[in-house]
Amino acid sequence: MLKIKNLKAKVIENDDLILKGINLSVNKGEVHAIMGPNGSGKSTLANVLAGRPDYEITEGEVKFESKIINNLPPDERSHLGIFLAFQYPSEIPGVRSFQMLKASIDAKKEYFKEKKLTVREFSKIYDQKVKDIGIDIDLTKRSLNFGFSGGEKKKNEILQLSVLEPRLAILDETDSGLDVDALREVSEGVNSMLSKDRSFIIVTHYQRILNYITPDFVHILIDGKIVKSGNKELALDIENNGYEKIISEVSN
Amino acid sequence: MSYTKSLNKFNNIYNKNIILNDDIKKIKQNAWDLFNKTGLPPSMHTTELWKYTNFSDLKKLDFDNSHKTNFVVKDKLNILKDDQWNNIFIINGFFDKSQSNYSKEIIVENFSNLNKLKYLIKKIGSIADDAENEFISLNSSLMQDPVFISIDNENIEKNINIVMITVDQDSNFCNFPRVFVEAKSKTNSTVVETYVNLADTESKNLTVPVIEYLLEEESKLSHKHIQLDTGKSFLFHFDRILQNKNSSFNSTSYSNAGLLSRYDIHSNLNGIDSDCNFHGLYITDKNEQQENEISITHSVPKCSSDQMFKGILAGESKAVFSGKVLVKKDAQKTKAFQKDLNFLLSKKAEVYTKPSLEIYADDVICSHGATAGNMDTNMLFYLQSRGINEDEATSMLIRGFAQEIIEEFDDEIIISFLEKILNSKIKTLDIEGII
Repeated sequence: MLKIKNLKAKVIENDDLILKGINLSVNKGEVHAIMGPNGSGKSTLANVLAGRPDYEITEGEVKFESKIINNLPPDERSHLGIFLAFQYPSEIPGVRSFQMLKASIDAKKEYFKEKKLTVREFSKIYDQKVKDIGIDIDLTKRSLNFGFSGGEKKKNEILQLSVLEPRLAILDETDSGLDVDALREVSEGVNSMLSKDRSFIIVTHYQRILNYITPDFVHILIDGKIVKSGNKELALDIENNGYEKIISEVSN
Repeated sequence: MSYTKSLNKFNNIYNKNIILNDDIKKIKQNAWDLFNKTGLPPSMHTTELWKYTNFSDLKKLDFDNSHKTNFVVKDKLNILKDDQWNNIFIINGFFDKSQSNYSKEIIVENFSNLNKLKYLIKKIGSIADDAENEFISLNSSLMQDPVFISIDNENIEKNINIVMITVDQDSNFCNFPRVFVEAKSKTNSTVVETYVNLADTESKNLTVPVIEYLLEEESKLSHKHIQLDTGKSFLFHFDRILQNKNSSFNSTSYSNAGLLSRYDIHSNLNGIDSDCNFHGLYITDKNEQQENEISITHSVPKCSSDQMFKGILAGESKAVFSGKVLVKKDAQKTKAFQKDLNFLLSKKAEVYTKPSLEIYADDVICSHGATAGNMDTNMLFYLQSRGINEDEATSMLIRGFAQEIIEEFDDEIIISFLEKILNSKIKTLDIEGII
């Protein structure tokens, strides 16, 4: 589904590479966790995959379902089925969740030259998802993410994930800033979206979200490179011994 | 441009202006004497009030006010109206009674047909002071057909819709709509005030509307001001409000800028327990200039006021926001807030924002603030990552910024009218190269 080959990337205004040659393959239905210390390039990888214009790919390629997407704008990546759950979702004045998601679905239908949903048809789907994720209906009437708590913002990301039904969902430190209850709720939302046709990349600093969402693979990203891959035991190892051990293994 | 020449251009107009009513004649004469002392405001940067206004184009032009029109309001899509409303059309400064329609809930008379509202003649100029502003005295000098509206029914359910239209004339045209609105004690009403320039020729017009509002005790007036399609015209629009005890004036404004347009609104809170809100949205593009002169005087204790304006600026346009609050010595327990937020969509657009508080009382709660920001790339990427392309995401963010004010119009017909206007305006905005 996703094949990343020797991916190198940097911030546009800066010459220093942040991603220094990433290789990663994610097959249909797999859950991959990407772990790493602060500044290792985890969030950059998530954002580069989603097409954030602040970054520039200098080398390598990202292939999504056999299409090279290096130069595709973010909206087109979304149509193809890539979804990024943001670490810090933007607060957007005057734009409501329903309105944005209706526009998202409309744009996707247009891209594939399919018939658009009527407001009523979309409303039915939307209301059901709001209920399933357990979002306070009053929140959905506000401007997007405005006055939302950290937990509510992340739940709202999961709502978008569940409405947009992507092929590949990238969760960028979705667990950060969540208390235990919120983490459990958000994880349940993610788990309800697991399917044999949908893949996940879970970017995280801590192992704790992996107590709720079981990864098939765990990759350790240090200084812009994946230095070690393994199964969920690797995440536990990090939890017990920190990143220091791996860093010293690598540098030796 | 010499001072004399700037008067000459209006001299002819004043001289051929024949109004028979003695009271009005006197008002005009006094105003003309005043205007002759001042002339048009001096060039920019010489006075605080006109610091950013460039009059050189205006001063070069000659104007005529010969009014001939067979303009038909009906079926014109870009005029805000509804058959169910009380519609009052003022075309080129003249009240058009045959095309207006209003119920018996209100009394509307113009100067040639004064009957029940004769007493209001004496009140013209009592709220909009000729000595205060050059354009107010110019309006008082050259107004041709003042309109009087009296609201005396406790609950007027239908909007009172005052539509001022400038339509094509053979030459550069000037017109001076004048309205006096009296909201009697305990009344509750909505007044919509629209200005639209429908002249489609190359001629440049000057329009100076002056609207006076007298709010008697315990009256509530919801005011909606809409400025559209000013195009190549010069517009100086004045709203002057006098509020008596326990009255409420709640105003929401929408302005599409023109070559040079100024919206100037002032309320004098002159009766305790009164409140006044001035909220508004202005949009400027290309080489347009929109000025907002928003001021409130707290003359007595226990009143509250709130100013909140938002600006969307594109192209090489300029906007000026001057928000003033004057709290007089006796006006204790005043609450006054003001804010001006600007969204700059172009590197060449400029906003001069100057919120000011002048406070002589000691027991008051006041605040003010202003911001100017560019397109937020995080927000833009957020929407794009949800499948919304850059252009659509950009207009979604602009609409979102405007939404708060648009919703305050609190009237389905007006909101859907303005949403259409706003959407088509956004499509033509010059926002190249902001991201």
